[in-house]
Amino acid sequence: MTPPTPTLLRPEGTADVSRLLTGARAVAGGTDLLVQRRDGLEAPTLVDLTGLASTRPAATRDPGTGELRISAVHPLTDVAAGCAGAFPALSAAIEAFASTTIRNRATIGGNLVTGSPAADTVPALLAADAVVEIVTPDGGRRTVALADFLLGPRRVDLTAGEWVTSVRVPRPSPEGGFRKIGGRRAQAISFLNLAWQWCREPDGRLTDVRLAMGAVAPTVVRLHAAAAALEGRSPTPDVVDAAVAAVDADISPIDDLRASAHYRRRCAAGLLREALLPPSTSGGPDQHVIPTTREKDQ
Amino acid sequence: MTAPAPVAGRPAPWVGRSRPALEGHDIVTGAITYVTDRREEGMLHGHVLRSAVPHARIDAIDVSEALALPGVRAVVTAADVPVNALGPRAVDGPALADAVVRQVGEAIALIAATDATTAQRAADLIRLELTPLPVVDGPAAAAAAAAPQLHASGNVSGNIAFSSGDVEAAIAGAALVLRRSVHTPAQEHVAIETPGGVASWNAEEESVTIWCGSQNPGLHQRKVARALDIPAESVRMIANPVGGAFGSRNDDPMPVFLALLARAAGAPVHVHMTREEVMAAGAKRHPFWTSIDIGFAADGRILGSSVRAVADTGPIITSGPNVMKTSAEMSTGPYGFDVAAFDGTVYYTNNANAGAFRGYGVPQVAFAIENAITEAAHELGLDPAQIRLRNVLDRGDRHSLYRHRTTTSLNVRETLRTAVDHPLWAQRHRWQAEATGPWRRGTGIAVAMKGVGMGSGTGDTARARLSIDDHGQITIWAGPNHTGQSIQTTYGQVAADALGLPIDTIDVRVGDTGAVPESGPTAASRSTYAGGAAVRAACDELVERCRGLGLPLATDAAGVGTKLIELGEAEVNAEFRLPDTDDIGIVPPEQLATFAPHRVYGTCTQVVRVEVNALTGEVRVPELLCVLDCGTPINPAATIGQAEGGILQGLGLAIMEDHRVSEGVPRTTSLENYLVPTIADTPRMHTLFVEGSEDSGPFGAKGMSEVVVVPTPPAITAAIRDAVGVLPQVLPVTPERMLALIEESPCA
Amino acid sequence: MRVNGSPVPTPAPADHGMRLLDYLRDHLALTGAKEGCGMGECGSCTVVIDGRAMTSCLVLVGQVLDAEIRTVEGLAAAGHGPLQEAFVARQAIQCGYCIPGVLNSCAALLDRERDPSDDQICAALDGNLCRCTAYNRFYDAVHDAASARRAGGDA
Ligand SMILES: Cc1cc2nc3c(=O)[nH]c(=O)nc-3n(C[C@H](O)[C@H](O)[C@H](O)COP(=O)(O)OP(=O)(O)OC[C@H]3O[C@@H](n4cnc5c(N)ncnc54)[C@H](O)[C@@H]3O)c2cc1C
Ligand code: FES
Ligand code: FES
Repeated sequence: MTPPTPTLLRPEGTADVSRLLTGARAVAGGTDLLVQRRDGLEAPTLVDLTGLASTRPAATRDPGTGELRISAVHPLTDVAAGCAGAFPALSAAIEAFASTTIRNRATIGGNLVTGSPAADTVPALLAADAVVEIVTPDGGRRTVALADFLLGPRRVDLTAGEWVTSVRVPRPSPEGGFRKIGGRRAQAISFLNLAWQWCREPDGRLTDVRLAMGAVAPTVVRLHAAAAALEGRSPTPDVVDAAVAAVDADISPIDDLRASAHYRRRCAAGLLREALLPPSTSGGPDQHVIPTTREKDQ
Repeated sequence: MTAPAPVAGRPAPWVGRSRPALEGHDIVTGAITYVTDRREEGMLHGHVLRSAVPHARIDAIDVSEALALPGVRAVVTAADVPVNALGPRAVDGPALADAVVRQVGEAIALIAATDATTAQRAADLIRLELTPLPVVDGPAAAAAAAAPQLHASGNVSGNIAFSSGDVEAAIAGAALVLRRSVHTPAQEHVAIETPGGVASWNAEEESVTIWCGSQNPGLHQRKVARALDIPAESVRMIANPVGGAFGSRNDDPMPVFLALLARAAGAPVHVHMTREEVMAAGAKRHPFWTSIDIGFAADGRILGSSVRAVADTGPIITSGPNVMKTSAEMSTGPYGFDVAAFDGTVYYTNNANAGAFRGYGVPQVAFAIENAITEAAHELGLDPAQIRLRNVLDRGDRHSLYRHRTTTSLNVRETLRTAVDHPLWAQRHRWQAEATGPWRRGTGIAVAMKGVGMGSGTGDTARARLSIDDHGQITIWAGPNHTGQSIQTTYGQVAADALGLPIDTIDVRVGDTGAVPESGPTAASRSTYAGGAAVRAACDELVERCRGLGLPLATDAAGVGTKLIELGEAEVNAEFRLPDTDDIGIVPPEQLATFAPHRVYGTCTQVVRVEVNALTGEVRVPELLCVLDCGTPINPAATIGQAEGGILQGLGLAIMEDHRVSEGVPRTTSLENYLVPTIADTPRMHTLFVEGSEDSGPFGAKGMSEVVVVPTPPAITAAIRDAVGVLPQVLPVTPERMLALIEESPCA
Repeated sequence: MRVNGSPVPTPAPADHGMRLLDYLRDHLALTGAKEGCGMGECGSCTVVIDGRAMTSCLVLVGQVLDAEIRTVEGLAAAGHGPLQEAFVARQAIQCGYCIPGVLNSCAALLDRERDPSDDQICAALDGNLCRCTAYNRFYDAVHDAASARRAGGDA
């Protein structure tokens, strides 16, 4: 059973959170924390962050730089609506995330802080060079690149009393996607997942290629070598083969209950190959791609 | 007894008409009280302390600290149970572990406290001294020479072997001989309501009332009576409403736990198991390792087949040998051929206990034979439907293994023919050609047959009691309980037509041992068939009685009721004994119940479309056809609902469900890691009925709720074979298994 | 906190850390919300909170003190009688244990979509496990309910 939480505190506003968080722990959607409570996680005092959502928007976009600022305390349903086409890889990840009931609760903050290598919103954010905005116990701010925030399985760069307020995404690309493999077609934790974004030049070349993969290493990782193999090239069969062959270099999967390391390696290659298929032949609704072109976006 | 035709002046028949479930309104408004929703005055909350290890000697149990915790009202251990047994044999297992624990999740102690948190905390305070014992982690370990013996009788829980001739001789000259091994996993029922309920002890009468799901309230009544050492009449089981069962409420010890707690605490006690407890402790579908040697003539005729099966029943017997008995009978599938053999052994292990699960041993062996036929069709260059048509049994044919006579309503052939004519099959090549990207398409077909009822020689009987009051209202207490099938809705239809009375004057009650005569289990696809036939018999008897007395039942039920009460004739008791096969073939008469061949079978053909992602190994199932041979569908929409639900359980078994245990420790511990199909995994389904009527069934009905699970896995593997050229022999076909097969295949 | 359209007594601070599911069942005697897993996987505890379907086993009472909560018991009053009737008439129910959660997910969908597509229905129900039926009748029932609502002039 889930033991009742002895004390649940509700901050008056953003400024109040740090005060209450002393000696306590944050809770947002509870979709990770309340599950862990069943396995014995102690949490004498929780500070509820969900109330903060009403004080600000789920996502804002700087019209000048194009930078997106995504609230860490809004449910994913709101984040998807707030990003509205500006960040297709993240939108696709949210669409593939758990189920409607969970998307109506779960937050990006919770997804980042749980530090799961299989977390579904992380690959898109990592591929886009996201920066995590943290409120420190004294009420100050610090920022850390998502790549540095993720330290290992269930370990992130967050100390007691700190909390995540938002995530900044300097350059979400208008063409991108996300694909996960799970044990079934909804409500499944990823065996592995892949987010990609790139720009497709008028001549068909891919530029600014960014790939990140989950559940194939202690944290979500960028596929630098594969991206480099694609950068500035058209995805011809040779180029695709080279990029797919390069996936291995950046991943170090393990065997666990969900899948073997061997499968993860084989499927990692398959996922990238599939992502590089021409959009019209990728086939089927499992491809969570929201295709837009640069031209359309302007 | 066929479906009634409309008769002028009589109400339109109910049989054959879809009738919404009677409790539907209470369900959609939330008004219905499931057994675990029940709240009683002064009710306590129970908790079960369970073993965390698969095999250990219990050296000591100290409950003193737990008892001292404020709010704790009772702690029960093995020493407190008057007769610490779940059945008459040692292998039935104890109610609570005494000298030894043999499974993760095995119950060791029961606690009742003022609230659930306190009960759980008390469980944590119970001191256990355990000495680990070597773990028997599967049938191979159980059979090993030096294996620890889990029971005095050894590690073999049961063996059943039979043969109708020399299979090797019969297949010696065959055009094709296949020798294959398949594996099917342990499957968890995942009834959405986890076991639990309320029990209330009456100290004056020394009696107990238990509200708890059960597929066999009469059996549970006897189990409780045994454990508490009280007469069966002192135990009242009220076994619904309950949120699903699928076999899981056959062997469930929960009614015994509830009763023990209520007596010890002297107050009503509520227990509701967590999903994690069910994952560890609930009985699963038996995992099977099945091999088949089968020979075919060049035209596809089966010349002989020999099946050997090994099953893991976990630490106690539950349904193990009975499941294997059903496997034996269905090891020849719905096919007729001359020589067959079967040899199956069930082992005790320290893995998850296995028990009854919809299909009861048939999906496991059917997977072996259907896969072999699929492969033979490809090898021999035959159409997969034609090779099956060439072999299926026809009405009244003799069974391949036992040579006994099957029912004349057997209509496998028509299910196949109907399926073959359906666009899903007829247009399979075109659909395949339209595949895009990495998704390869294929279509598969499979057929199945499953006996209805407990089988010949078992004396299987259902009963019904009927009474009429002075308003002409009919009350019927009948047969197998329901665990979500709304069987009383169906019984009402049978009764309305049999009595010729308006359906809303008939009230049907099931599932209460205080009122319903013993009718056997909700199992073996027998509820509609056997229970319905008992209801019909009771109704016929009332009609007959009225005719004899010259009373106009159909036109003046109130007057007739008044008269019958005066005469002391207002109550009818009837029973229906399921007919044995009229020719038992080569089964030795004195061993009829050992093999229990059936007379009546339900059959089913399915056609499945599958898409396989050649890059990732994912398998998805967009569309499926089910053609049923179930005699008269009394409530067609309900029958289709049963079919679709069963198919989805078969689909789960085929591509995702797998209760995993390693070294006796369950790895799939919750619904996060044990996956069942969601709506997104569900194909579009079409269900068709073939014409037919079972003369021994009520208005021509026979059972169907299990057979529908059976063809789905082999139809899916056949479709995979069609899509990517490899035939999976191990279930479930996870993306990982699928990708490995694709990569290993020579044509990849 | 409002439940099914009426205010309920403000939960005591000591109860803020309770699961909403337990609060509904044990304090408000609304046993329509069921527990099937306690960890967000099965959806039988689904209720509608401020218009959205959520699993009440993962919500703490203190998180919804200002919320409008709807359970299966409040569906009819919220204009979802046609949905309830459609589930019965379509025989989209077997044991019924999942149904309160399923109906709440459907109702939340119907409150924002007048004429939901099959894909939208599938997405709305992807967190509600049903082990008895095969989900397909849920589509029919939701379509029936949507057209009944449209015909009823509910704008
Ligand atoms: C049924 C189910 C399905 C799921 N499916 C998926 C899936 O498909 N993909 C996936 O990635 N995950 C999935 N999850 C896991 C979970 O939903 C996600 O990790 C989710 O994003 C967690 O967010 P939350 O707001 O619910 O976090 P919570 O449970 O509230 O918190 C999680 C952790 O983060 C901390 N925390 C939360 N917010 C903050 C913050 N702003 N600052 C600092 N610390 C914070 C908490 O203290 C806690 O330690 C699933 C969970 C369930 C129950
Ligand atoms: S009980 Fe809440 S989702 Fe299962
Ligand atoms: S009707 Fe039984 S779980 Fe849905």
